[in-house]
Amino acid sequence: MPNPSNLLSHPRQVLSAPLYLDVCAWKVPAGFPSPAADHTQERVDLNKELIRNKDATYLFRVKGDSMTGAGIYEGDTLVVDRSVTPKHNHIVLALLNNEFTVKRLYRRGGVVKLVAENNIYPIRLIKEEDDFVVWGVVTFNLHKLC
Amino acid sequence: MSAQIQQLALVDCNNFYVSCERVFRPDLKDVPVVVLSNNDGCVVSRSNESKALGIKMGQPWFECKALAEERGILALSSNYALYADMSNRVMAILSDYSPRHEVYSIDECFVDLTGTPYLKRRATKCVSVSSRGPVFLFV
Repeated sequence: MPNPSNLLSHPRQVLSAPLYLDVCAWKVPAGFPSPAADHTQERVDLNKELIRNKDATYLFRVKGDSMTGAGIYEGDTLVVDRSVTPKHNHIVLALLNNEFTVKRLYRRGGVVKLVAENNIYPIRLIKEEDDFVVWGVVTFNLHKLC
Repeated sequence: MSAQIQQLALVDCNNFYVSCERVFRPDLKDVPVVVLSNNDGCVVSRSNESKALGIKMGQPWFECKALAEERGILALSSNYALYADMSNRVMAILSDYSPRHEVYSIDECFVDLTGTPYLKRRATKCVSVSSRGPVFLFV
């Protein structure tokens, strides 16, 4: 059975409005302030950085601790792209017997496994009788640091 | 220049509101589900299982309650923010198939496939082969 503590809920709508942030094209001076600081030009749109295909991308809030080894913690927000073809070693949002779970996908030699990134959780081998589908591929994790 | 026959596809999503709910509620798979109109008045979307049980489109929910209890039909209040978001995604994906398309309703869209590489044989064939794949995959 998938780990219920890792179950995700409440889909988040992906904003499509650009959010521009200033980018410094120079190194931060530890001493004298740069006179170029008043002439910032290059701008970054985080939507563009984080979302490759906005029509196929969804945000999910993480619950549980089975992926802490991959730097994914409870409360983090995962960017999930459904248009990415899942490959071996991708971190995926999968449906296992109609339940959501986030795990690393192992797919080698006809063997499919869901691997937690936390030793206390066993590797889950996908058997023929399982109802298994990869819902989407996790492309980024948004982890709050302060 | 030879005149080209205009070929249009009409894309219509199956049980749209129920399908939207099921994207995020995988536990509702194979369960008879209906989505109710504002204030939980009438049935506005039915899963195939609910249709098979005889629930009619637009039927007042109080009329279905006895049957729902007996057969375990699950009723959901409508979540139009979700349906609108999913609709926008479907329409955006469909717009990749042709420069000319017209959104007809929240779950229907005309796509002019004239002169596009998506027309291999008949238009009906093309819709099920070309459009369904990606829309089903992404959304």
